[in-house]
Amino acid sequence: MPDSTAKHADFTAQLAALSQQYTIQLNRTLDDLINCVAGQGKYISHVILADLHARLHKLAGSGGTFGYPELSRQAHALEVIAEHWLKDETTPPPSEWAEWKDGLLALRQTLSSSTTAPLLSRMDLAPVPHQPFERQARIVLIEDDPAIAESLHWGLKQFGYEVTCYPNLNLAESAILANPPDVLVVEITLSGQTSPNSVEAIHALFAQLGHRLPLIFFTAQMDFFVRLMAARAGGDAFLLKPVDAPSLARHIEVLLRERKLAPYRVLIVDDDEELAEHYRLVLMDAGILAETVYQPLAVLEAMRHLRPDLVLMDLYMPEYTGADLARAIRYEEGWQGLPIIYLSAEDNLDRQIVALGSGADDFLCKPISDTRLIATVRTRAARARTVTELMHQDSLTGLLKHASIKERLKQELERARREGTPLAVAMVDIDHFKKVNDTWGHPVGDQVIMTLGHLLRQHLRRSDSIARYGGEEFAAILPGCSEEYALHLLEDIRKRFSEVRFTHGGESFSVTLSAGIAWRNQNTESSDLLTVADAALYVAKRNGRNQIRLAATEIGSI
Amino acid sequence: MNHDKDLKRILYVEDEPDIRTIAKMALEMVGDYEVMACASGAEALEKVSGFAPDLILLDVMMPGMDGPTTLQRLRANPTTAAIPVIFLTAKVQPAEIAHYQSLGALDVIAKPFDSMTLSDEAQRIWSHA
Repeated sequence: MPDSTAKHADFTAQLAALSQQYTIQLNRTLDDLINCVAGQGKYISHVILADLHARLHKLAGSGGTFGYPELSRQAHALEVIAEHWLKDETTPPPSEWAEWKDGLLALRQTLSSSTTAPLLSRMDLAPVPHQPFERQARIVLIEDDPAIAESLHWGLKQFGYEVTCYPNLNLAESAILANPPDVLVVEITLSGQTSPNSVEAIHALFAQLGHRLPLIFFTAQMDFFVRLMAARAGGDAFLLKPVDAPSLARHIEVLLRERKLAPYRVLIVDDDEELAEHYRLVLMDAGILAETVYQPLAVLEAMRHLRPDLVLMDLYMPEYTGADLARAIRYEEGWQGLPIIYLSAEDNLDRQIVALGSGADDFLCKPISDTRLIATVRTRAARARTVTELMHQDSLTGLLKHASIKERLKQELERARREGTPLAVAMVDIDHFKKVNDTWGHPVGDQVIMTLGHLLRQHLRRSDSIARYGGEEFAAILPGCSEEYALHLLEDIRKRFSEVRFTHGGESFSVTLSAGIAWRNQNTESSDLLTVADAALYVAKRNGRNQIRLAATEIGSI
Repeated sequence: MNHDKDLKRILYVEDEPDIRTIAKMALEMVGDYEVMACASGAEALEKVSGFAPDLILLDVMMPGMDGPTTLQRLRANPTTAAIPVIFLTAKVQPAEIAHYQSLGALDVIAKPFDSMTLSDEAQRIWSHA
């Protein structure tokens, strides 16, 4: 039964992905629990105990399902004792409380020693990075000018996309229905058709398909009416002719990335616990990762570990107002652009305006419908992400900038240390790049850089971070990757890059790359890792280029 | 087997999103059931009539309305009173199982459950009812 086998494999893969997410969350949960008891002395209040009890209950009920049966068992034992204390309304005797605390601390030990036991999460930590590179994205291009179609077709191919061109939507229809592309690119003012015609045809197509496709319009007409039509058709981007392949490729990539994006993270601050929990459930159900905080004092801490895309905040809470809190959050430089949305029953417009003046971005009146809540959160978070990305991105390649990668490396290294997982760093440099620029000109040089950036992005995982480190130098952080695997990956990219033919003025040429790899060990500092990888890159260059070098073991594992 | 039809539609009620996702996936992909997942007892009560499940899997401990209360409310409504319910809980002492059964549950599935065998277990309990 090949069908059931495939289904089973699919299930296993999805399960592995979920387990991996769970493991990450689990580390946080344990940190929280341990932090919570660490601050307690000889005695424990029932309020805190009740909270611990609830969280242990969740842990006990889920751990085993995600591959941590021992953790479940231990959490359950602690839960039972806590429940006993809560029921009796007795203060636990200090000796028993101390023992219980030790039991809680031991959970961390259990988690770190179960590296091999959880059949799914750990096993798949390896395969996920090893998963074959994502398949080529397929683009359908509707353009009636053969010359433009031809040039975009070729240009997009250079960026690794599979492109099919059609002169109009009618001809494309059956192909799109049979095999929907990842992105649809449409010239909105095709000859013999008005833009309303195109828009209608696209609507009909999506209706037949049962869902919409990521959609990019382009046109020669800079006309408000045409833009309006494009917006009405749900176009994700609107480009003005002449459109060059690199900028079209960039738009396509943004769309593709959005669809694969990590879930939005939202922090809910509300002293009404039940309501906050309700919001959390609604958002989680919509695929948005939400956490609740009931105490304003806990907000900054929660922000640090969740790093939310957006904060939903009750305007009136005991002791603090939402406005105070918003201002306090904004003091931190990194959170100045963070969207903060007030939630309140306040329907006095004047007071709403005053509240907004203190640094929030929007106001939602309670009661708010679930649909409206989800929609608002999604739109705001999406916009905030785009802005953040732009701030950190290199404009030519869309990769991270030099400064951002150092920060990212610090975070990833910390996480790898905490979770006891490997981490590799690669420095990649284009060989004889100056010669490319001198011979073919800077625009062609840019094309070479973009192609490599694109190749790296396509062949590394989403969780890997890639940056344009210098002119023709790239840095990649590969969490969960051993040095051997990093070598294997980079070898593959090296080969593929050397096979790309660049064409200019009727002549064609190819370019090679060199790379150096370093990996983490116990006491590695992030800046060292980059330096060591750079040193390995230097060795690769000196040895004749077009090759990947691992850092010498004694330095590689400082 | 006392049922005059097969087990096809399952309503799954659980407040923990991780567990809800994995259980829904397991029941759909391993068991091939049609599954509706609800995040709370209140949501389950709201959606149960529209979905008309053959079986309800109900977490015992949930914030707000817990499993036993949800069951009570299901039983109080003539249109949902006859739908069999299985509880999910970490507490599986024989006395507790007996208690849940006295409330009207078919049986109890122990948490944490194994995602590979959850469907079989649901089917087994259903068939023996």
